[in-house]
Amino acid sequence: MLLLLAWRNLRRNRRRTLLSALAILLGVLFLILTLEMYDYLLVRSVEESLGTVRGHARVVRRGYLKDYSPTLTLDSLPASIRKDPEVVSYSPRVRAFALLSGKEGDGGAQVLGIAPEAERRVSSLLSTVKEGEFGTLALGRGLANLLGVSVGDTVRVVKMGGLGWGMEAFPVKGILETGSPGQDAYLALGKIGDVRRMAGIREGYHEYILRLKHPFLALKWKESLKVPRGYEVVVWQEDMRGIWEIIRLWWVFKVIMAAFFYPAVLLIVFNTFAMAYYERKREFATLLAIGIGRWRLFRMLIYEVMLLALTSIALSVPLSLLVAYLLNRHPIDLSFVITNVRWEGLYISPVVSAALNPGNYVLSSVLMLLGTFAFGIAIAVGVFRLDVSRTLRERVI
Amino acid sequence: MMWLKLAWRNVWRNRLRTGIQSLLIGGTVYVGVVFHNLALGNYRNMIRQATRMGSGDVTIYDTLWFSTRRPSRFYSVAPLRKLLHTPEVKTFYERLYLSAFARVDLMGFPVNLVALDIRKEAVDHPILKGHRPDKEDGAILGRGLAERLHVRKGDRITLTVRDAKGELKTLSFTVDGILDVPIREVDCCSIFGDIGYVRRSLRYGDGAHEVAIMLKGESPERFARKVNRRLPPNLKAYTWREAMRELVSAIAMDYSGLVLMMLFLYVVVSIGTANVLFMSVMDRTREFGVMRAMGMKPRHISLMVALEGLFLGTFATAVGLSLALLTNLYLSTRGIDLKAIYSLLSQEGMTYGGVVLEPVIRSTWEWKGTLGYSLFVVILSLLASYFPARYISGIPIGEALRK
Amino acid sequence: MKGPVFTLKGVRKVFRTGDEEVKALDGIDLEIRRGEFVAVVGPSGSGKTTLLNVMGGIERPDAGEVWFMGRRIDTLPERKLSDLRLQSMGFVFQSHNLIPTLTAEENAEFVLFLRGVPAKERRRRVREVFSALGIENLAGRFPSEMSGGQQQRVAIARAVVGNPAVVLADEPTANLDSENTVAVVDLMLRINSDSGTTFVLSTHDPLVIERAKRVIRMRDGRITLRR
Repeated sequence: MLLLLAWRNLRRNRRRTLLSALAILLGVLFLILTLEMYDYLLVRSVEESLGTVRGHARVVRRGYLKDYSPTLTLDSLPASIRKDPEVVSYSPRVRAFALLSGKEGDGGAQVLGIAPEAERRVSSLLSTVKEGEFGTLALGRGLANLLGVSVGDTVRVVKMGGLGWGMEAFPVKGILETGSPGQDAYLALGKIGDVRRMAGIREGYHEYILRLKHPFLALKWKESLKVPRGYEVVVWQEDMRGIWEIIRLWWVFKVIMAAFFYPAVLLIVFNTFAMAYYERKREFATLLAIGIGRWRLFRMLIYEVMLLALTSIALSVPLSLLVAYLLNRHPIDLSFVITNVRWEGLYISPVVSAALNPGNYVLSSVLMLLGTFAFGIAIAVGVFRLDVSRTLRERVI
Repeated sequence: MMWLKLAWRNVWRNRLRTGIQSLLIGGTVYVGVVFHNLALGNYRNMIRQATRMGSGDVTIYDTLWFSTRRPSRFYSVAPLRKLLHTPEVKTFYERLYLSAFARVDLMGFPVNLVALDIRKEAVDHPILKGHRPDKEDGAILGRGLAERLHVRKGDRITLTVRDAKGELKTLSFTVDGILDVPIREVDCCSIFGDIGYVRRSLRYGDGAHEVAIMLKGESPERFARKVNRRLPPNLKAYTWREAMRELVSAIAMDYSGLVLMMLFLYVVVSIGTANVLFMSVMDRTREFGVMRAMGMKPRHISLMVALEGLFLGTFATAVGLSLALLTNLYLSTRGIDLKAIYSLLSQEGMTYGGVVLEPVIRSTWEWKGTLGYSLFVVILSLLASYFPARYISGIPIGEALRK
Repeated sequence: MKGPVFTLKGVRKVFRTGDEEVKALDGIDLEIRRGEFVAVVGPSGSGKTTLLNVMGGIERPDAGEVWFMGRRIDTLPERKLSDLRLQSMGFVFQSHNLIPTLTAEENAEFVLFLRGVPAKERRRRVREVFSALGIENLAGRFPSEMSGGQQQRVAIARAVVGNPAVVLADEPTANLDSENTVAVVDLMLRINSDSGTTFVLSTHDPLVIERAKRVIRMRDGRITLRR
């Protein structure tokens, strides 16, 4: 009965109710879409970064990552890691740092030696080869531009090997584009045997790249992992500490966003309900006079606010989902106006899309409900202070 | 005058309603103005840092070097020096960027050799500040690179590098300083050396890849246009906006967040103002009926409601703007210290768009945006009165009088 | 004999609420002459207010003709009707007559302001009327600071300040006590006799009816008695 009354009261002044509902609807819609867009930017950038060069985790000889000493190699992936159920696939890599010398210039490069079959199961590195094919050497686009070479040309490699430095010539087999220009200016790929020669080693690998079932839980996984002596496991969160901390505190960012978006909406709701309350004070006094309890009246007012909020949210969520879905299916690429941007070592591409993260819908809806509830209480408590006889005597303006 | 008096008094008839809406409008202006100036203060800082470290306000590059970074595309600086001795130019820096292979014992790494006038640049270069090597072969490098090469201050590093004629040469440096820089490219892979020493050793004469020009206050665009008229066809003066597209994009991406938020707030303010004016005119339906009966025309009613919207917007904006300017005064002098937040996120310091973010953000005074954000709210308040005005002026008088 | 101010011929007006039709005016033929002081009386819902509204161009009749000062007004466009009311008519309503955000003086001045009278002239005329009606002491007060009787006196002052040909007053004494009723009606009678302004007022108050020079009784939208 109280709910029915609340619903009818909302319909009494439709224009006012509609405008307040519109404010709530837009508030929730804007917040959800903003969070969806930011989520997409962050998560996609991290996933892209992990999916090519970085991997979810890597296994190296203890101390290798400190100075990349080429002699710190490992032969096979320890069984305890290989057989871990969290590890989906793995691939060996060899790394050499060299100065590449082309027709027009020189450029420093990190040359990764990869095993194509295994690498395909771990990363999309091979699919970044856009011209020619994989082989020794496949150069990043920026690096090829710097050296002034293209597929079929020869590149001389200045490298450390054996007892000192030396030079060796390799043909350019392919050109790759990873999506981050900074990386492309410094990265080259090659076959494992060739890169071993560049690094001055005869056998072994420098690291194993792992693909995990739950990359965002990698740190927890590492804690429970028994790493054999002499080995070191580094998960991506340790490599990209700044970004990981940002992801960890992402919910704080979301609440801060809500704190910017919602007060404006809640002020409108508050204003509307405060006005509705003052207009109906006489009516409330009459209801109190005929015996409806103050607590019941209070509940009716809260029902009104919550009904308004719930109805608006119920309309807003599917609408947001629809827009987010469309954005997700048809991302808007703004790279023709703005370039990629580095953020704590991560490349963010200027693409407007949505992540479709259910958490954003829940968070936005719950915060709006809480907000309207709090503001509703602030108004509805007035019925406990309402002076019945004085209000009934008052002239209604 | 009568209209103004009437509209102003009508706005304040329901103080609670007007007060709450004023809070919304004023709050929007406050957020817009404070965040706009704070963001711009931060961007100015980033730009200042980036222009001092990299491109300058205006930079002269060989056009092919600009797109490929090929070391062979250097140019002679002598003809430019005269060109740059003009009152607009505060100072200019000559730099060479070379790829080299650094070796220490059996450790070898490819590095970027940045050759510059360290003594001159140390004055306000964000990373080299205070570093003044005693010897001409003194080099400054990032901690990451020093650890990879196992070197400390005083150790020798040998670089294999191609000279100006394309021949491979060896060049030795003594480590003079080790930098803690959060920018990965610098930390892992850069060596800063003296340009005179590098030029002599590698037969670069007076060659440079980059002449970064710091201006006294002149517009970079205007100065670049002026210089470009006098440069040979292979050279071009680029403004920092052209030279550092990533920074421009970083600023655009960041600022779009504020624009998005303001867009939303503007929509909400418009709805709120329309709501308040609707409530206000509907409360006064009978009163409007009396006025119409007295001979007032519908356009007079519309004018009055529009004036009420305008007054509400102007009053709230004036309050919001005043508070925002006071806040900005504090933020431009004391600033906000984000050290705690930054250190939580990254121990080395936060980087964005290739620039280290300053932990203390100071806002600036940018009047175009400040007035723009404020005026727009006033205009929106006026526009929001359209529907309430149309509604109330369209009610038949008899019907209005029966309310 | 003075010419007619209002002539109504076969005027009908029907209000519809849902399926229900209410005949507010059902074939009214009426003539009111210059300088008359007419009371339209009858029970609630008899059509008094509608009759006054139709005369004032506030409502348009569904059928029939309404003539004002020799000009047919029921077919005039809204803009011209507004001008007509502004220039030639004054209105007094039962309650909430005054604009609450203007003082008594400003309320009266407002009509002249709408007519485009210069500020100085406006103030002079308002002061003149206020002093003639003996309400100078109310000039600076807002409606909320005045009693019902005081408000109605100011409303009358506002209605006559522009020297209209006619004042239409809809139950002007309905919310007043006897003393104030007599005072307000006497004030209107005085203006009527001093300046010749025609007064048409609706009422069911005997104190008003006995003072009126002409009485028209209505029931169910029809005139049942003319005196």
